[in-house]
Amino acid sequence: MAPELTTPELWVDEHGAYLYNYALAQVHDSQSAEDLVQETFLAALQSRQAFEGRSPIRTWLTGILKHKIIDHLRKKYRELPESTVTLPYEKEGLFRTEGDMRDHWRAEVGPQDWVINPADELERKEFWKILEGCTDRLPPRLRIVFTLREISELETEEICKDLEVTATNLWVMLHRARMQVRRCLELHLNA
Amino acid sequence: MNKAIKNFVWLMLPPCKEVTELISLNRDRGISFAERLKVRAHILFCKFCARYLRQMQSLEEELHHKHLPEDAPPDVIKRIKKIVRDNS
Repeated sequence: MAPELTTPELWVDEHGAYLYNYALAQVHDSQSAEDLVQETFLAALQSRQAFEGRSPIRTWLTGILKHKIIDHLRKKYRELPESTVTLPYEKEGLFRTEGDMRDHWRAEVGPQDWVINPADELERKEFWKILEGCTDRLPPRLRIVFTLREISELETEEICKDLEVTATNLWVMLHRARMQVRRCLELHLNA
Repeated sequence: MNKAIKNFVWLMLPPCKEVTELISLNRDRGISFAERLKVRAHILFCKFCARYLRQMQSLEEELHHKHLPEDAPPDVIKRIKKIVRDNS
């Protein structure tokens, strides 16, 4: 309850690593993650008086960091060129293109059961390693959109506003990113 | 079920590609009751889409309950600490 009992240096000991990993999961770049955590602590020092200890320090710090991450991703998104690449799953052609069964899964590439089950404590680590590899390989703009929605957990309206994209455009990007991540997971989990 | 009826029902349902799109849409802006019924019915017939839905659900579950490690490279923490000390 009494934030004055802890010094800012202790904040770093207690929450620094957590915040760093929180940032890293969203910006995928260790230098940016470190910079963002640094800025977060500096901002926290400045607004220390305003923090009344109503919430745990970690929650307060994470809130500051979250805003900084979103700002960072928004800036990066705008610097990146529009991506027109065909994704690997699109090249593969997962759906039939003709006949009565047009737009149904092709049997050879339809979803298969995953060999690694993320709900299993022991297998989770392996699952995450593969998942991170798959999101890292998305084209940069799609990766940002996917991250903001699925990891930062922003509402779609907010992402549209932040990135200046239409709802339809955002939705198409999200769907393509999800299709690609799922297919990539399947290929590597069952490899 | 009579095979002819089964085939007829199947033909009235959206194809797999559309089902995957509806699953995404449902997550982002919600879909209508009728659309939801069509997805449910399709999944009864289609093991691929049933798996697809299960996998997307478990993927989201994992992403939203990410367990963050509590350790970071010591030199990163050291640098951050120095900045905090210098600015305290």
